[in-house]
Amino acid sequence: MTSRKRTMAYGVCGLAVVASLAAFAATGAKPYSRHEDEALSAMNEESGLGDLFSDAGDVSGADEAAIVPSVYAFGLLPSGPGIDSLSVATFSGPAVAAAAGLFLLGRRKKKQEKMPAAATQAAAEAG
Amino acid sequence: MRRIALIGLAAGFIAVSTAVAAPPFATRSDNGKTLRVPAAESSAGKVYYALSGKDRQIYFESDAPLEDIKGQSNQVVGYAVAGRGSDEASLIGGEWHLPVDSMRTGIKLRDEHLAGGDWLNAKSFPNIVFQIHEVRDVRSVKKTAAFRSYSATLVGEMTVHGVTSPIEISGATLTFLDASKATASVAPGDLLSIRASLSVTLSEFGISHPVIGNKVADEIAIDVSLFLSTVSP
Repeated sequence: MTSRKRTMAYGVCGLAVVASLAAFAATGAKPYSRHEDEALSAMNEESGLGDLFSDAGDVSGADEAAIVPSVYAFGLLPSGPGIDSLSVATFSGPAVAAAAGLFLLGRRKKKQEKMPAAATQAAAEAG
Repeated sequence: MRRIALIGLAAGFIAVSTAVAAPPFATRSDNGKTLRVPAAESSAGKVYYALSGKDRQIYFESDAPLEDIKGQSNQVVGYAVAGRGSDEASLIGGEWHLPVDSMRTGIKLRDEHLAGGDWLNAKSFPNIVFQIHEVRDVRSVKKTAAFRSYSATLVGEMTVHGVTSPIEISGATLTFLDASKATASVAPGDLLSIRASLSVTLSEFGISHPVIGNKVADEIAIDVSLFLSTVSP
């Protein structure tokens, strides 16, 4: 592989890593990927019952804010098969592995090119 | 002959202990939207039925070193029987069933694991059951023309994963709201709100797994927020 092609390949791998990290940050930086859940969305809709009691003066539930949000998140790790497998790890992992492989291959080639040159020099010195 | 008698005795003992370990639970009504109230309880007080399928009723959180898991459900069915007159907060009885497979954590695979055989085992134990037998330490908190609010300790039993354990929930809030034009537009009948916080220990209910302690906490914090009505769903 020419050095130009190698540089382009490194660029694509780098882009994949940056894009997946950007998606991770933009969707809430969750540890696991997740998608919207209809049942959760329905639960989080206010039916008006809480308001009835708070309007009447009951504030025992006023500070109750904990809910499980129904949101999409491109997580650090996959959370299951299929579409849930899309995550930073599954998207940029192969890119990092490919870049590492290219680097190691490049070093091996350089080593092999140096060896014949070294052997010729050694023969010349002996002769 | 003696061996047969001993085997028979052992079988009888196992049958009895199993029956005692799993208290009789109320059955679902014909439409499946609530539970049948025992006649003795319904005649002794005012029955309120849980309004299921609307707001979140149960929220739970597992705070472990490696992972924080949150989940909720709005499919709790059941009833509470309020005392008569000024003793309304001294509930005569109550029972609620939380279907295990109704809990949602936001991650589908995790919801399946939660209901699976390694955890709550919804196939064998489809519901988490809470039964009230007594209410103690009733204290009036606020009283207006519109509503009456009390704090109390709920005493009863909780059955999770087929194991029944006594439970006491202090600091529960019971708020009674009489039917009016304003309430009728949201839900029919007189209304009752029960809010409580408790924690359950998974190991106490026979749930064990290698990840308990690092990815799943043994102690699970639970927030309960039930709305009930005198009109059966």
